[in-house]
Amino acid sequence: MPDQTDPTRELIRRAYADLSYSGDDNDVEGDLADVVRRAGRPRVQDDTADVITLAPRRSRRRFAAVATFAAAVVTILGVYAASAGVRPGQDAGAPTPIGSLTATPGATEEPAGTPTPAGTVPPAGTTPPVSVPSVPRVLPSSCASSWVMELAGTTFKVTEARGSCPALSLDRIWLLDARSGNGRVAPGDAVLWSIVPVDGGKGPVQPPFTFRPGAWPGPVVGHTYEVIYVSQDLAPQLKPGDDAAAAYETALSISRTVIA
Amino acid sequence: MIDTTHELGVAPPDFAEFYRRDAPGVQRFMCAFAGRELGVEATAESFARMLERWPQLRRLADAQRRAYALTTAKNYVRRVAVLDARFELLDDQHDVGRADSDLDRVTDSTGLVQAVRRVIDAQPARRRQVALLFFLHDDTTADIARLLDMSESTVRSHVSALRKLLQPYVQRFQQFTEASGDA
Repeated sequence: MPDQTDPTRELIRRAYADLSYSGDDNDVEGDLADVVRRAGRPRVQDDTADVITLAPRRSRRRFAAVATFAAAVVTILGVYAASAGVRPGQDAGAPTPIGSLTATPGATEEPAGTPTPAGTVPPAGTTPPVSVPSVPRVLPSSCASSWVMELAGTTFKVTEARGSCPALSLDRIWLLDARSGNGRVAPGDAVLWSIVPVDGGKGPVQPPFTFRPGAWPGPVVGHTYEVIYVSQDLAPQLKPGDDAAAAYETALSISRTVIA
Repeated sequence: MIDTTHELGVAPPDFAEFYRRDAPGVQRFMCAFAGRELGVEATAESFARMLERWPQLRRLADAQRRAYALTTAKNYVRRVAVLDARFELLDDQHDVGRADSDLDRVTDSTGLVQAVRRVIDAQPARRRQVALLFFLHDDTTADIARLLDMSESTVRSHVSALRKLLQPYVQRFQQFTEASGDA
């Protein structure tokens, strides 16, 4: 129960005396018709008079800490599962860990002869697993700007400055063709081109190799080019010539920049 | 003549009377609490929600209806604040407001209460809201903490800071009341 003899309270009440209920004026802004109109309007959330059940900030912080811990556990288990890989003899139909490139016919729901997400083509009717270079589930930091590109005509010759970046899946790496932006890629600043190795390979790539961007019109003086590693969610949606802004937000730079 | 229910687009007469009598007070408080635009909006939304439930609410006493309207309006403001992050998310402990330098020129109690209002109005939004809820509405620290999405200790810190800020005004206020023989 508040102390009604509190002088501070009394002083503030006098200061805001006009906020009390005088009941003798009707200077309310808006009118009853507006209230009536609002009363019939559907609302997103009901029961505004009831206690809103949003957790207090402290509880939300606690929830965030628990969620972070749970996410860390899941990530560790995921990395462990990926490092273990899928071994021959694994149950048919069992989910294949993302990034595992030991393709076993029958282990996935894809028909034989269909390229797997990693780009391998399991030959129909064969049972031995096809070994391909392993791609990382989590991109090592050593991959950051580790590729060095050299533009020759309409092809890029790729070498590696540091030999520590593993092979990368072609569906995740794209050529960023920026015409402006000074390192900042806003909508309209850059487009993406797919990477097509000149040797025709469709599996994961690792320098040294040479590629020609798919559907690329060719180099333009002043444009800058670099290879980026796009997120797993966005990769399947990308097409050559797409604006790069959205993908670039979550992408990682794999190569150093080349200026045409 | 107002004689039909809101389903027909018109408010029932007892609601219209309640609105005419109490809406101005609710709106004045809400404008002081949350700013004019949001205060007007919250008041209208509050009475609209009450109109929807008027068959149940019409049985309440006047004071209960008033409290219901204010609580609904405050919750509306809170929801807007939480969803739109309209209030600045400052570090509450370092949310320091301005003091009023006019105290020395105050010569009577009328000028004093005006100076107090200026001081409180000059405070950061959340401290001003704590002041109105705690001192004017007698809301508990727990209720204020929920409404303003802050911890109870932060509410108490704001109250303590306000008391400290208003200490010279209180002393002057007591001098005036003693001089006038009110005490």
